[in-house]
Amino acid sequence: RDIRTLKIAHGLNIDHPVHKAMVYLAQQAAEKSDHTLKIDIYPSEQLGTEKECIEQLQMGILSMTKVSSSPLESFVPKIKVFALPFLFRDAEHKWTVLNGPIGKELLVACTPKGFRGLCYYDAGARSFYTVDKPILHPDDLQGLKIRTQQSPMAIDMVNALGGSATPIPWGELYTALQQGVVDGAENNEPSLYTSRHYEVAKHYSLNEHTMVPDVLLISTLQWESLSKQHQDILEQAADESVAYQRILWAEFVQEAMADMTSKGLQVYNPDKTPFMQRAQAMYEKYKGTEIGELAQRIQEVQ
Amino acid sequence: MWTPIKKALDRFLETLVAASMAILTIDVSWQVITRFILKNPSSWTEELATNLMIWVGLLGAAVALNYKDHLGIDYFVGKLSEKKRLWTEMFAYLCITLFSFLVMFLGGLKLVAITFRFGQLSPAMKLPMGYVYLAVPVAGVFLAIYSTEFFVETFIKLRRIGDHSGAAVETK
Amino acid sequence: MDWPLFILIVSFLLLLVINVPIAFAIGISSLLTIFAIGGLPEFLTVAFKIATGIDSFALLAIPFFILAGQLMGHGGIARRLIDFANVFVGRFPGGLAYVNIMTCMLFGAISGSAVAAVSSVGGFMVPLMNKEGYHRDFNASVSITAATTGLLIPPSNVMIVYSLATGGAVSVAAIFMAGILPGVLTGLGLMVVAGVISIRNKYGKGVSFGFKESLIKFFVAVPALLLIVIVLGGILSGIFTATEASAIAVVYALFLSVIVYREVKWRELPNIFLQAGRTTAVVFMLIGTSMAMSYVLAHENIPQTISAALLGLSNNPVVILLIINLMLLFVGTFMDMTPAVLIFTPIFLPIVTQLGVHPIHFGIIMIMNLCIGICTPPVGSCLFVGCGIAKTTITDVIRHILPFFLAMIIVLFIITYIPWLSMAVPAALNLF
Ligand code: NA
Ligand code: NA
Repeated sequence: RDIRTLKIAHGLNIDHPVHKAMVYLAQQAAEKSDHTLKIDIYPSEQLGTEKECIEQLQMGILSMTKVSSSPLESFVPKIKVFALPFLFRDAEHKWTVLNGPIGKELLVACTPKGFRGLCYYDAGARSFYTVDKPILHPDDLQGLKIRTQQSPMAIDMVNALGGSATPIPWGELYTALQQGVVDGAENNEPSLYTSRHYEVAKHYSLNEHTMVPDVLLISTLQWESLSKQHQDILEQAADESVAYQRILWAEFVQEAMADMTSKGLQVYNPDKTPFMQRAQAMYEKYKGTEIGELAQRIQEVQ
Repeated sequence: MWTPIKKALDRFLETLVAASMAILTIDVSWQVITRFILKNPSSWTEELATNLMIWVGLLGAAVALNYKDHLGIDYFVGKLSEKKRLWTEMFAYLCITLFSFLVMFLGGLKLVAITFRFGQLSPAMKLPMGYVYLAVPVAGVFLAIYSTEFFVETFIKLRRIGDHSGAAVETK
Repeated sequence: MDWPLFILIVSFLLLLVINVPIAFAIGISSLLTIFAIGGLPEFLTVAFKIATGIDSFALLAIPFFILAGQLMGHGGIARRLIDFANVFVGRFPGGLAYVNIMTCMLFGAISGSAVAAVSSVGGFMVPLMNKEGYHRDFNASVSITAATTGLLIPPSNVMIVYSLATGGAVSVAAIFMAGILPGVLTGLGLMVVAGVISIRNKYGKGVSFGFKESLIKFFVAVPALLLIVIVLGGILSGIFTATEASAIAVVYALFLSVIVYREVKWRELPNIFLQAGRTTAVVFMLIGTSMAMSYVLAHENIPQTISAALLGLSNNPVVILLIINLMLLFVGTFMDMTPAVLIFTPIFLPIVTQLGVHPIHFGIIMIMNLCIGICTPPVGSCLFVGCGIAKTTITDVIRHILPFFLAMIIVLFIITYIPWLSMAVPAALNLF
């Protein structure tokens, strides 16, 4: 009997909800294919960083990977749209868009780049966390050095909201916060938790400026070598793992927040309106471009 | 015929490596200055430095091969007779040549082709990553040239002691 | 053992024995293993890992610390540090041995490279010690082993490599600070051995300076020592990152050697840049091919296999750390430090963290262990260079170097089982 083995690699550890969703995906694929489709998972950057994993998909060395959309921007520029602040009104709007035609369109946009988007995983919303004082209003960002990802979009976003963007590697951030190289950073709850940055940055202001989803990708070379039956099974298993991952994510966020607040993290819910007003500068900048049009279409979705 | 070409090649590579090291130093110092004196972090300096470093690292590997800088164990081959030692040396250079040609040149060229085809751009400078990875096949060519040269040199030495094995002992 | 792993180990050892440079031996054996696994584009995969393996901003500190070391080597820094050390420890019996060790600790601290320390400090101290009647092979042994302290005392290139191998789980600043006490302890351990041997052989004292002369020697060395303060202070105070600090170190070393001490001429600079480029390339080639080997091992699930086997033996951290130390001592005999760190960190780190060992502590254990490895045959960069500058052979040195190995192994076990030595400084500075 012919057994097909696919390799998934990603950068998260095995406690992360995304990893658990992939384990679930592998189980589903095995069951549905009568164990002719086997999926091996390589967590914790064993086979390389997210950027390297995408490159390996292009070469057909690796079958699948999960990436956040920021490293994907270097390969598929359209993906940048997700980095626009306050693009989605709320989580419901986000999922309507991702599950709708625009979501599909962006997954398809990957195809000429050597890989296909299979599905989106929840990565929550990113908010500011700071060492000295909370960010209750964009004015509070004035003069603060905020760590961002090494992506022009992320840098522009923090600058537009009023901070001073400072790109440094994620691994150096704990020390950088500790020593005052930066005054704060921004990320979702699980990342703040697993990185233990909350031990240093005690103010978490849930302004939820961006909701950037994770994307599950498969190498085009590997996809095309699968039988139609295996392709269908894989797509189905991926879709089912999304529902499962969203539940796990929500649970993980709750656990993380409970533990962090018990250890002294102060959580704030600032009014988002002034942040949204500042964010308009970003939309002005992209007006008339492909990204701008895409953003407009997303915001028109009810 | 070969000597002047080789000299020019050596000079070219060495100038490139030394100059790149100097530019690297200036570039990262500039980054520190922009961050602390001009209060305006420059995002391309970091990327330029990383890309330049890859080129220095790989082209420098060819220069280092020319100077026989790469660490190895000469303990065991040192115990062999001169003839056997030269045969082993030839085989070792053949290994390096094959690796440089097959992996770094051919494999590297394929890597560059794929990277250009899918148009990956570096985040800050928007430079096609293919130009960065191009360092691999280019270094592969130079590594292969140098190791082939050493291979031929060893072969000539070997033939010389093969022809006048008595004479070789005398001159020692 | 499965077939691809067998190919990997056997081809690697064979290539080493026939004197194929280590970087290429690692690359070729990884390539052959990929052939044995099947299903991967062989040449492309290795080329890809070489390119992406060295594509990291964190690695940029390495060429800079190498360049700073080169500038200090040419800039008469070693001699001034020797005078400085003489002021403190020269007056005791066997004084020159202490001076050698203390200078290595200071110079190695500045340059971040053991090979630079053994060639600069050893190159100056060994002839001096020979002249004073110290045994040549004793002198070589002191220089070789003392040079490794510079890898533990920050800044240190191999620590940057370790930080990279942990995927950023350990920051460069934290591992730098963790190395200070273990590095000093190693230096003290070596001094004890050197002292016992010196007293037994009735070796004489070093130079004793008068008070005024001591003051002059002391202050002449201060600008050189200031480099450590600038680099570490800069990183700790958050003024700059480790990479930026390394570039500042170069600028400062240039200033010192060209303008203050005036021992390097402007026209000599291109050659110093080239030298640094060559050394950098040797390290980077090793990093690139090691990344390929590490990839092959991960692909074959070797880390999980070893982990399961080790944890099957015992759940006791004391026992596991003992086994890992013995394995690393073995690995260190035939593998250079950089590839060993890159290849074995992903294998051992998940095991020990599961048992509650902190990644910072484990990094120090690993580096200290491999410090012994670079002094042992058949592959030992520090040993090779040390034998070269002392004009002796590995066979002659071995008998004399054994007591120093013993001291290093004792220190290794102290460091392994007293985590406080590694963790106290980074903890006091809130680095993790
Ligand atoms: Na050091
Ligand atoms: Na060794």
